[in-house]
Amino acid sequence: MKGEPNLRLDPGDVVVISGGGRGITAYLALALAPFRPTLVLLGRHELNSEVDNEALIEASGPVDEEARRAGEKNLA
Amino acid sequence: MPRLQRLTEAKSLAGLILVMDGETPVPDMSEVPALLTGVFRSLQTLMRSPGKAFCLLIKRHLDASSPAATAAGGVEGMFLSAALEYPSVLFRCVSLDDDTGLQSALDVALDTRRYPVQISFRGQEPFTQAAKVHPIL
Repeated sequence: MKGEPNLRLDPGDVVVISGGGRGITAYLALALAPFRPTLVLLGRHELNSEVDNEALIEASGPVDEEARRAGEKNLA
Repeated sequence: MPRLQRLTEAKSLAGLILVMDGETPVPDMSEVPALLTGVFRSLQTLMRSPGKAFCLLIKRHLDASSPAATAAGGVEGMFLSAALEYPSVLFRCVSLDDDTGLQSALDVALDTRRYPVQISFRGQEPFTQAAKVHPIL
């Protein structure tokens, strides 16, 4: 097949996810996390200002290298 | 106040994922054209990016007569056309049912060895559509 897709994500690549920040969208964001992309989440509701999102991200801990490699293998 | 940045300013825009879920429906049919225009502009921006890699539409719990299903149909049309024009980009429209595991669906949808753009899941099993030439008379 001409120009077969080459699905490769590098750290910092931007991925836009439309559908809010809950449910499937949140799961997708977590699934992409091992690749360390910059995620842009689009939704209709304003972020809850009482939630410290940066603290939540920090609390999730560093990305596991083994998980990242496993993810790369799945996407290769 | 965080600085706003346009998608066109992103150095490496790689992917676009659209989730059309019946739980967060498009409220009114009159909103569909504006939504599709927004998706088309985002798609154009992505196709201009040197790092473009994939476009994924995920559908779940959509009532066939709903505005969200109409919008999803429009997005599928865009993806099918764009897939012909940009063969190096992975385009997938994935329909899930209640019993489909999202991880296994993603594994199938993002598998570059599979070529159909449209994939429908019944449970964990993926299906696609085929067309046949058949005389009416």
